[in-house]
Amino acid sequence: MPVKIGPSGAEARGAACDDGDMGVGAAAAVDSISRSELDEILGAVHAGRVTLVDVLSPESYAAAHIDGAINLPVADVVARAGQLIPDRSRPIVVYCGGPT
Amino acid sequence: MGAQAVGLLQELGYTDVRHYQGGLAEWLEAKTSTASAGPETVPTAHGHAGAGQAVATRRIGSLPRVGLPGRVSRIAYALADQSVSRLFRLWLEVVVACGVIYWLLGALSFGALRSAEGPIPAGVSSGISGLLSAVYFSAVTATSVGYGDIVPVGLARVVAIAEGGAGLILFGCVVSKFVSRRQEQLLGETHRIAFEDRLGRVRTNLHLVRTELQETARLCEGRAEPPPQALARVESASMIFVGELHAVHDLLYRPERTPGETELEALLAGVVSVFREFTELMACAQLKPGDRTPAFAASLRTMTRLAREICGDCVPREFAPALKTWMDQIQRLAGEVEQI
Repeated sequence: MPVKIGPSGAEARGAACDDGDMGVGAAAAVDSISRSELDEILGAVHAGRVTLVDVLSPESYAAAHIDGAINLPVADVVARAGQLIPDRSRPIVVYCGGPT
Repeated sequence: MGAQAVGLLQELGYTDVRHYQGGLAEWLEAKTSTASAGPETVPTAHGHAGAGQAVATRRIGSLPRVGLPGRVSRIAYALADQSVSRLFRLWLEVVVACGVIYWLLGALSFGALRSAEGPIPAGVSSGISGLLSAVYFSAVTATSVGYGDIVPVGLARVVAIAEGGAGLILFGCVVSKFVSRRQEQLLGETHRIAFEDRLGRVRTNLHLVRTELQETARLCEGRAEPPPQALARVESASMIFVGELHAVHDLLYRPERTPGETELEALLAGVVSVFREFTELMACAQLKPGDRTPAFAASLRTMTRLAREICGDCVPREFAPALKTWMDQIQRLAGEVEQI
């Protein structure tokens, strides 16, 4: 049976945790933080000064997430970021399943 | 994926975006290692800001933070996490230490112990036999037996009350540990059986879904329009499949329990073959997005979303390369199903 493999297949892969083919925006340098830095930031997260974003699916978020994180799956970033995080100057920390 | 999200957010105009590189995997790992260090680490884990909220989300009925009762219950919780042998040793240490204190108090002539009929004869309150009767009194107090043949006086009364309280709590912990150990064993056994049952169910259902899809594919072979019952069968099979995919997803994302490698490989292979059947069937039955019932469309969406998170690099743990290959295959096939 014929099976189409198009560009959106690659997109779908990128939308999960694969860092093989990253989206357009990933070309910019990414400011990374370590675990100890995250520990320092957590206080500010709970105080509501920093937004912690879990970019995994709602299922994974329901199973486990870092306290205080909001759920915004990568696929929904473009559609829902503005609604969930209205303030664009607000500090944001993003995390995924593993080190990708 | 995190890096990708950072890029997207930056494009949307967010100026201060950082990426926690370790991700959920590293976080969960660190959390389980601090959790086993005992409940005392819990309140300090988040620092001062918003600590109340943090503690509340971490542990229901969390430990009180201030005051003597709070401190006592905190210590009691910490004790409850120790092993039986350690608790018993601690109890013995309390008995001996308090015995030595009584003896020292007596030796330093603060007045410590006297027999109920009168003072312990001189020469007994100091020296080896004095130490022995002090330890004897200590043990009688710590077990809250309290024969009353030897009674404390003066400062020793304060020590005796404290020892009595501590001894009671420690002994209670030892006893409750003994009782609950058997229960924990049974509970663990129950969990194990339930887990294996579930694994068996996943395996069986994956097989059933696959044969069902094959059967349906045969139904619509050589026809332009799929017969209506074929659509209904695909729909219900896809619902079962979504449930099992949830289970597999859970296995990969929850660190508490994992099946053996071969078992996991068999499950992943089952998922792959079901996805293959799906791509073939969808092409054959020409289930256009417009013709799909809402329930079927919903299970397709859940299916692809779940499968997108099953890939070698995005699950929060390391798996063998063979397993990773299967996972990547699932992801690729999910992308294909999505496009049809």
